[in-house]
Amino acid sequence: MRRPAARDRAQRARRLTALLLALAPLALGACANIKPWERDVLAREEMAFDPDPLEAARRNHVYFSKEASLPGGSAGGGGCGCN
Amino acid sequence: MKNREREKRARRRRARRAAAAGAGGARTLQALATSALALPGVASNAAAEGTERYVADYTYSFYSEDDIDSSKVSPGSETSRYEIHNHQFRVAAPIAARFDLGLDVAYETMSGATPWYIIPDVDGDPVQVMTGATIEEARTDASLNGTYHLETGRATGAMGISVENDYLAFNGSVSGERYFNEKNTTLNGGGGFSIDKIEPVDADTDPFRPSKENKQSFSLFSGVSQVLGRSSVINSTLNYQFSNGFLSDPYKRVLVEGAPIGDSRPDTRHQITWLTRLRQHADFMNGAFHADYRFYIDTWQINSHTIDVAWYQNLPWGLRLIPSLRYYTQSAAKFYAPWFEVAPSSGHASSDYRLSPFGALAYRVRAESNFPIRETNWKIHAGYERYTSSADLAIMKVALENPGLVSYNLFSVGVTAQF
Repeated sequence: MRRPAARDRAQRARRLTALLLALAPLALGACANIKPWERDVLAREEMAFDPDPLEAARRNHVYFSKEASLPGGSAGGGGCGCN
Repeated sequence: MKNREREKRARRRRARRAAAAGAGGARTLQALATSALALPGVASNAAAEGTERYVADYTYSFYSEDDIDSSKVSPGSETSRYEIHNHQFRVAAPIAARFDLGLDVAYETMSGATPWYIIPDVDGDPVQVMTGATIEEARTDASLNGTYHLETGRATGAMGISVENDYLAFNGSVSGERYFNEKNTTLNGGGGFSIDKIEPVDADTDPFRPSKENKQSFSLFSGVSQVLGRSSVINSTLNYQFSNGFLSDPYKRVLVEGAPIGDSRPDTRHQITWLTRLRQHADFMNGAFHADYRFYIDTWQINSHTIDVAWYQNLPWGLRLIPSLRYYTQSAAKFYAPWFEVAPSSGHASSDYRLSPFGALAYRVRAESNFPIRETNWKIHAGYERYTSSADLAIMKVALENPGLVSYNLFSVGVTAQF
């Protein structure tokens, strides 16, 4: 007869396995191999991470000036007095 | 029927071979050109600027903070706050077959009063003391960047300068991208630095204001982008920054044991940002969904969560409408308090609202119109943002709201030409 702690561990392992199996299709989906001639949608301007670089720069600067966090996503830019 | 299938398969084979050889019919070349723009990371700039074309961009924006509520300021204090007029220019050009050069210049003028320190009123509630005089200043920021494109990736170098009458910053960065898995996966990484010099005004009349200080920041980042399907792509990037030197605000004070003394923060700070961005196109709506999540943590014990979602709706006649929503929440710095009854043993104290616990909600709307005139593609756009912040919007319980928390309106208009 298994001790309760061992039973808990086995139960946790089963749950983790079930979770990984449930997430596996997502991982497979992430390995999608889209050919160059299938990328017409991905190439559209509205699919860019920053469709308007000027707006992204201004927005990051304003939030950076009024909040304590860094924008992230790239190497940091220049400093400022930022009152 | 079978013949048609065979022909279709043969056509696909031919297209694949042509693509692999780097030569082929006009359609294949076009597909290859657009696919390069579709690459995660590349898309962030190239899709907007077009690697084959010259780009000129100008945006004007007007930023205006709400007046501070008269019940939240000390008697006689200024209630009007900051206003900023901002002009941004950008030009980008393919100066060689594989080399692009870009120049960004921003000029802004700022005026208004800002929070100085906080005192308790007769009921023990915090009220803000604002700076006495209206501040008038200007900032110019310029950066030059060059990108070299390879078959398997690209490398970018940038350098910039930011100048104010009391602040000077030099910065630079290098970054690179490497494509894998038929360009379905992109790894990116890089590093940057900023060297800042601070010479606060009126240092001779304010005993708590230093006359000359400096600070340095160094950052590293690494990320991965993955095409998830024909209309879906995701990017996740981890960013680390280390800063040292004078990290306090020379223009702020904090009430310690009943006396307003200079804002004092640790002289080092380690910051980590994890940003994940998803782009999903919905063909049936002719629009795209943007979802960003950012987690941030630093050694001042501040952590924050940001969720930013946007919908890009394409409309007839080259029009596009973009509503978006952003939620932000942060915890307080370990040396933050509205005021200190007893001097903290660390020697660090600040009552800056930016280091206080709060949440913020912003909604934005932007309209664009795209139209060609001869060989030039033009875009005009206008946008509005409303930003409000308060302790009630934070995910954690906040005992005392900082009275200096900001709310603002931001209007912008701009024009872009690609030729």
